[in-house]
Amino acid sequence: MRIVLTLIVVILMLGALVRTEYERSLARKDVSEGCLACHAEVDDPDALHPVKSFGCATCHLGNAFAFEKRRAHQGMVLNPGDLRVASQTCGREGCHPSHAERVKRSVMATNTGIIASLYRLWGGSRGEDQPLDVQSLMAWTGPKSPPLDYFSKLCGSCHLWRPLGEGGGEFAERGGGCSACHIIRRHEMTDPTRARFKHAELSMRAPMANCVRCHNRSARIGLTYQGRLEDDGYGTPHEDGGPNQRRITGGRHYQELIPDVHFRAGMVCIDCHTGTELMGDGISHKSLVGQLEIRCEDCHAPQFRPEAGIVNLSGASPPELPSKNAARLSALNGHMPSPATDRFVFSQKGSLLYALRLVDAPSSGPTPGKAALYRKLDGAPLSYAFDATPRPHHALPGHERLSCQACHSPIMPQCYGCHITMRQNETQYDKLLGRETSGKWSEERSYARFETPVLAVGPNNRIMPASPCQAEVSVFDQNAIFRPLESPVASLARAFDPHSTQKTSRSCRDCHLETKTMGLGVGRMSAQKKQPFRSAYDGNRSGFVQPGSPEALMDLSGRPLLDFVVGGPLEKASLARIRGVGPCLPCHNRYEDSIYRNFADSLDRLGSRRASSCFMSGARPVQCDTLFRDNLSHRSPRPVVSGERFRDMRISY
Amino acid sequence: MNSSRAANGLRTLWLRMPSVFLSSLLICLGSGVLLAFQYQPAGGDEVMRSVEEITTLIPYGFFLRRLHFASGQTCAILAILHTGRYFLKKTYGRTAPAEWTRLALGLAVCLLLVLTGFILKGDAEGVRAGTVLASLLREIPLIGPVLSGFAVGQGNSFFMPPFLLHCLILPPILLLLLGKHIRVRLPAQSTFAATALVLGGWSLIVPMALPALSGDPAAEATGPWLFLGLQAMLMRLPPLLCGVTLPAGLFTLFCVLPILRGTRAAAAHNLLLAFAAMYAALSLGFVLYSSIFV
Repeated sequence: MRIVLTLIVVILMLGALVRTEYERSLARKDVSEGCLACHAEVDDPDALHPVKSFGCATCHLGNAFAFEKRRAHQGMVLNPGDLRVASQTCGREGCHPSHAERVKRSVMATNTGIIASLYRLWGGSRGEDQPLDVQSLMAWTGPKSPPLDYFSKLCGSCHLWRPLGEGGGEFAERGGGCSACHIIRRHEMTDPTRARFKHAELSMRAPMANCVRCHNRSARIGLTYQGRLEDDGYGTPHEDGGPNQRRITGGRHYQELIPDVHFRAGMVCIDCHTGTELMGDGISHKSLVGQLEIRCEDCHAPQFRPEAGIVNLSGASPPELPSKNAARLSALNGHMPSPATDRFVFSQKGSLLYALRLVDAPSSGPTPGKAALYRKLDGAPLSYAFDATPRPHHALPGHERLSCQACHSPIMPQCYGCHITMRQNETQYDKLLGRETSGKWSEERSYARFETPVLAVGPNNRIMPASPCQAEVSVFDQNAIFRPLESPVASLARAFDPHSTQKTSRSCRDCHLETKTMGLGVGRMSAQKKQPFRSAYDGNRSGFVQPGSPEALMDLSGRPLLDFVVGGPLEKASLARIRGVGPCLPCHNRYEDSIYRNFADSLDRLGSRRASSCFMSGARPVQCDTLFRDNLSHRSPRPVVSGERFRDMRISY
Repeated sequence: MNSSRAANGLRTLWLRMPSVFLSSLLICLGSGVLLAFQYQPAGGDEVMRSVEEITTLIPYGFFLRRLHFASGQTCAILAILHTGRYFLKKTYGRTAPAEWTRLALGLAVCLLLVLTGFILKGDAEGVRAGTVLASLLREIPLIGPVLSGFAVGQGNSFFMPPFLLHCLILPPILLLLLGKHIRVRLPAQSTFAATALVLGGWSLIVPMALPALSGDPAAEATGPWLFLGLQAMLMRLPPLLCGVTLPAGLFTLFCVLPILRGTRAAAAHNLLLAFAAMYAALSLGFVLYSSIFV
């Protein structure tokens, strides 16, 4: 009996063994790695990462040697670009090791500037141990101070550490480390067996949509560049009896205005912004400004240098000549011709602008040079002329500190009255912790404008367009009672490139006669010594957070009215010089006018009556000093709201 | 009535233990020989590739590997129980020193087989275990570096020394040490069949553990279960002390038990017992610590 039972058990076990072996044998195929036994027909992510050569596990990790799902998927990552694993995937030895480490320190991953601005909003102080970047904030286990909680719940969806696919809707599209930029189409999985599917498309030609996915709030440069003004949500003008269908992320409505001149030329973000700017230079900068390197002059006044003696600027090992670097990058791009020149332009940090090619060098005489910028998405060349020396109006004495944007960015989004409410008796999803925690933040904006910007001193002491950021925080405790002492009110401002560049610049009057542009706010200048400037809006009387008009950056004495994150308002001396030119402009309205060659000397001659009389219309002689006095009492133009000045510039309305 | 039946059952188990051990050993040797044909001991990733191919690609490889693992672990457990039993019964008092040393050496060889087998998994844990072993051996003054070279290789030959030890050197030594046992206690057919059925059934049902991949965090790596106590000690104590001096001292003390008499024997016995208890507690504590905090 015992023998029979033993035999039965043995037979049953053998049966089970043979069956298991048979089931396993079905998955076995003669492939280079186990993954391909099941995922047999996967197309290549791109020409540079063929599945045949790379397999799957090189990027997606897992156990490439196993022919069994449970073992093969062990340790696998769906998104190799995720910064948590990037050093083992994209950044593995032999692939892109320096890039992965650089990206982790880049501002798109650290968000140091945003977090620092929030600390500033809440009084500027930060404990020594308080985190100042996303990675340390994600590891932060202590109680979160208001700026950190605010960041985690509202801002925390736009950083490269964010796992791709987390959350719903558009939130799921953001983040993902390297994939945030380099994946240009998500994978398409139609076969339920997963044997065949279209792999996500990988490219170094990052489309603008990948950038604008995040860069569409705050400074709104991604929208401004495309000529889109986020409006207040009425959906006007109505179409077919209802709100129009123009929507951007978050379901926000927008109006179409004139886009940036570069956008109209078909250029996208990566056509200007270098890899060093986007992926970082390996240094953990305190804010975005430190990471930027591209300047308008790099293309518009290019300094083509012969490559002889220039090596290692690309950081490649072993060092490579710029021509080889350019040829390699062009080949990787896939749409761009290999350079036929040995002269190249480098950014201020030494990045090779490989898409910029010299066509004809400028002569020492008046003949301009010719250059071509190859668009990175389609490789189409954009040819343009450039001068060997700056044109007169670009070399006008006294304008050395002006950035190109100061004159060529005529419009800028400016929002006022951002009201931030925090209710401690409610909960909200913490995007860094991945769970609901107590305290709910919400934001409401009073109004936004899309108008001529104020000028201020920006990074590198250059004069740039600036935009205010007024924030009023209201904190309500667990009993829904307002806590004024924990509710900061701040009027911040920041100078930045609004990305609304136009070929036609602002006029001289726009700066020298308009008090708003100078930073004094909308108001009236007069010759009265007691009150030389009268603001159109008195903030003090209205109980507003700042004394002048909302646009004012400073008072007439040069005292800043707003807290600048970087830079500040124009200096008092600069303001005096700018105002000093204003009275002359009605007559001396050309750059070439001789009085501007040495304006201080011209004023001296006028003051000492050595200057000749100037003539208005007709034959009536008017002395300049009379005109000067009269012009001091001009009234600055009314603020230009969207839809007035730029109505003629709209593409469609 | 019940207690006497239980006592009888336990006694039968004890009596069958050598037979079960030898049955497991035979199964382990047999499966090991078959696996050795497919195992690739040289090369970086090739070692793990060959292990994974055995597990998932070679026909019946998964079963052989599980069977080899299960029978090897059974041998190790039974060797510990066997040695522990004789130690607790203080039979060293009436055993010839050479015979007692043979018992101690047999246990040591079993433990080394477990360790080298763990290294030969070829995964990240195997590499780490091999590295720890080599580092510990290097701590031995004068002969350390040489000894380390015999335990673990360099570069692509990393797995070659443990492979030679596991397949060609240690098994014959173990068989030599067991020589008398094999002659006397050759397993009965029924014991062998029962052992084979249990181990075979276990190998069919319980899946092989997943390998540790190279990207896995080192902090989560654990050694073979018999060496967890040592791993815990290495986290706090100098390697030379807890990895070399202490094990060598305790092993020597264990071997000399038959020649100690009176209070010295009792003291040595208690010391070894206390260390065994502490080691077990450390191992358990390490497992708990790893599962909760790491």
